[in-house]
Amino acid sequence: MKVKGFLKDVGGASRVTKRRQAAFDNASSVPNATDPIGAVAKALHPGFIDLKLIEIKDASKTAKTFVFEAPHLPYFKAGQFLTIVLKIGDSLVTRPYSISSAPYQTRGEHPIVEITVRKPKENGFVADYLYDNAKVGDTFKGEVGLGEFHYEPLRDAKHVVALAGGSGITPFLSMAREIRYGKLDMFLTILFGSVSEDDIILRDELEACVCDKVRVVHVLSGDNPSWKGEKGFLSAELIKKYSSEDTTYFVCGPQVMYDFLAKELEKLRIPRRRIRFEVFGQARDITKFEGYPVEKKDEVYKLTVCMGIDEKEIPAKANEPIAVALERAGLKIHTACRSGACGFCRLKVLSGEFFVCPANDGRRHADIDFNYVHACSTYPLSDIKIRVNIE
Amino acid sequence: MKKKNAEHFIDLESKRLGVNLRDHILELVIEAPPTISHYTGAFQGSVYGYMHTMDDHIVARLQMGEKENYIQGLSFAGAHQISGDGMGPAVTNGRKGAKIILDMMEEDKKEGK
Repeated sequence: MKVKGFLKDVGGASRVTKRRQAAFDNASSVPNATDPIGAVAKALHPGFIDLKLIEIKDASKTAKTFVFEAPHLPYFKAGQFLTIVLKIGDSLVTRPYSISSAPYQTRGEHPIVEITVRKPKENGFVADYLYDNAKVGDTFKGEVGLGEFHYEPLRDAKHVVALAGGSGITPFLSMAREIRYGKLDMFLTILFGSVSEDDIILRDELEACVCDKVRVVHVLSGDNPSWKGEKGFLSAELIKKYSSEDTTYFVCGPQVMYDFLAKELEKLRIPRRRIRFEVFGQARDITKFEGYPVEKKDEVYKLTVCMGIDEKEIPAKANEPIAVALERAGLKIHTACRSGACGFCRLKVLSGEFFVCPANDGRRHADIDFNYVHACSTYPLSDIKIRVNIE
Repeated sequence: MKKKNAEHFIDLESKRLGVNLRDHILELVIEAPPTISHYTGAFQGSVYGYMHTMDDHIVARLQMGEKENYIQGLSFAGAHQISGDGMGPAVTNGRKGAKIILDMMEEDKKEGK
């Protein structure tokens, strides 16, 4: 642009408005909705899709693998999870499950995605339902490819030691398969803790992935006299034995394993940036957490749900997250990780007292200041009013 | 592609600072226009609106502002409004949009509507 002098430039503004008006007059009345970037975003993240269950196979004597297909399965990163929606009675629930198949398996002639679910030892509302009731041909709504538990070459060391317990092996099987297929460039050592040899989940599938970049070490903690491999727990000494000079540690398994490993990894003085824990879901027993008022655990409060201009009152138990209360009432909110991390179930508390599970508190400072919480990790401690988007 | 770009910028900045930034990365999220589109629905994944042109910029919009008020009571906020793109203008556009509505409500109140 050439500056012609102050008055000429000021006068020039009217030439611009004339051209702008002419552009309006000559424009088409048909909206230009061409958005190739949005199309790419939609293809990569299509949201909830229909997942058809095409196969159920045994992963061990206490676990099953559920294989799904869909017309257009989105790509995901090895280690991520999917959420699945189920209608159980009057409740609409969602649960996250780590994907045990590899990203490359969403392509090709028969694209599929798999999850592996262990039969819970105690009452597992959704896991029990899936395990005992799901049958081939059933269709579920699911959102594929969520979470931050995946390898990132710019952040992580080339060698990853995966510390797995029970069904926590699933994201590492996805990584191992992707490495074996040549689509993920990293070295993976899996230290997999199980109780007994005959209940190692996905053992054959793991063995099929062993190669120069994938190593699998089973560690049995139970009484297994004939076992010649590693025994005991995933101790600091054992972890050090299989580590390199620069290693990133990925941890996935039951909560009790996390508590144990946090101490073991501390003994090794591993930098914080080299340790990644997968979120483990809703707390099984909130009364065990410090700060929770145990005397209120059996109370049932009134939860007023503001949805736009509508309001609804529903019961909410003090020992269940708000997300569960909403689901019991058939009010579906968008949840994903069920661990207070992803923020999909974020809502605003307008009034009332609540407790946030400290192990699942993913709120930002601004959330705390302005009373925003994650429904999956927040427990009502009085009559409470919330504002939320209901789907 | 976005990983390659991120790698390039991390290495460039590391060289400029004399520090290997990769040794200090605790968390990494790489954003590209499809990321913005996915999380916000913004048209073509624009972060703060689309760039002004010589025929469509703040001066022209200010001059034509009154004429472009096609629906009474409807005011827009965001980075596609009068002040245009950028973080600051996105904030001031919201403030302007709110002020237009509040001024209208004040007038209506005076007129007993």
